[in-house]
Amino acid sequence: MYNLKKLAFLSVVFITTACATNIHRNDTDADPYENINRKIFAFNDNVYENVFFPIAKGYRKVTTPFIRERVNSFIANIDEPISAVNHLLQLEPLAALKNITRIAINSTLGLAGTFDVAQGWGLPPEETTFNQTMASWCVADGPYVVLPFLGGRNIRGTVGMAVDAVADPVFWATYHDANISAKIQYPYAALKYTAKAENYMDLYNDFKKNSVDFYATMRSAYLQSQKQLKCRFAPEETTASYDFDFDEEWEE
Amino acid sequence: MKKNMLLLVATFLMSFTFNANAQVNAEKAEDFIKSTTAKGVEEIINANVSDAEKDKRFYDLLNGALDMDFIGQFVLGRNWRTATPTQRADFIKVYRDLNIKTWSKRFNEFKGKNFVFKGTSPSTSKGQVFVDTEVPMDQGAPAKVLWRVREKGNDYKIVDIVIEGVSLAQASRSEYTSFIKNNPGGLDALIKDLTDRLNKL
Repeated sequence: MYNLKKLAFLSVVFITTACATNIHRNDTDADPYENINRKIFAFNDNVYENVFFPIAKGYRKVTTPFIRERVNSFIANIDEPISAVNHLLQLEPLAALKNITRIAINSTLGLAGTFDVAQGWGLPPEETTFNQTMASWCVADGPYVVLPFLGGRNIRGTVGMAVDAVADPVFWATYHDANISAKIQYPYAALKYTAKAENYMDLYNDFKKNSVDFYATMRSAYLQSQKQLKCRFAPEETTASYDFDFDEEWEE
Repeated sequence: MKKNMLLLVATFLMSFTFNANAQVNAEKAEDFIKSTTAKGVEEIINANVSDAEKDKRFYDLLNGALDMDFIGQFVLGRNWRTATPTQRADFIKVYRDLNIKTWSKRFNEFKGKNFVFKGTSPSTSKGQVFVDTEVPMDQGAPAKVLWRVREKGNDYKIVDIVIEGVSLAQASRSEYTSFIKNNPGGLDALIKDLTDRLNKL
């Protein structure tokens, strides 16, 4: 329990720091630790290429697309309560209700979540994260940091990821018994991250192959995705985040 | 009274002309994306022709649909202004060929899928509009793909593709600017790097 308290405390510190930082105008401004970030990025790339992706390829070899879809559905169903809670925190009760209905349908008729029956019934997945919850309450993004193994995110995204990880139902369900915890948590985490790596591998390789500066491409894609998140207290924006002026002079 | 009526008519006409100038014909822009994607799927991806023929058809289709001069100039950012005419021409040429080849490969993996058209959304830039589409995925929510179209007279060209809110033109600009900044060879090194990549494809 001590560790959880420590994590909660650290989160508050991080959020306060993040609040003090303004939204950044360009990628370089958002990335004050670029030198060290690039080094960690190169390390991560090595880990992905030499550890994660070979495992993902092995997984792809021994499974069929049908089986992988069942595994992805199963994991998404276990993660869905996190979206439900975050939707509530974002004051989106209808979306939360959709999540709960989907969990009820998919966990039963969908055979423990392995089939997304609810989607066929007009209830498509609506995923959300604690990062999006914080953004909706106007917590600022903070600088871009690349973490070993986990990749690049702004501070808010990093805190959000940590909170979602702690909120993981498998973590809570097995928390009280160290014995069960080791038997269920580790194999589940291994399956989850293998499936994740299998999902992202092709896109990652495509970006890597086609970028002259892979680091800058990934950073731009991430920062752009964050610019779309809306803060409820800000005035309604009339311009979409991706609608820039081609003629405008940009600071780079 | 007569004067007032005249003023009203004049205002109406003026506002109409203003709107007509400012607004792009969204329907035509959408039709352009519909026909471009349909051609890509029916006449290339699903067509029973050789790979060489597919490459040729992709080149013609994308070269006609994408405004490469416009995008190329944008992605170089401030480096475009300082570039020599030769550098500009060399860059646009390799940027065009590399992009067309890369996109041909990506679209080729698109077999069995289709774009679902979701209408259009406005752009604050004059003469431009976003054509909104969705691509159903094997699993989970569909991917949102927006095509930014620029109207030039009766001609329509794609100037950006926005996937899940990420503009590829912005990502390229960030990538190239960063490369030039971190590379002593500058723009020439970029052109060389892109040429090497093109030759490897």
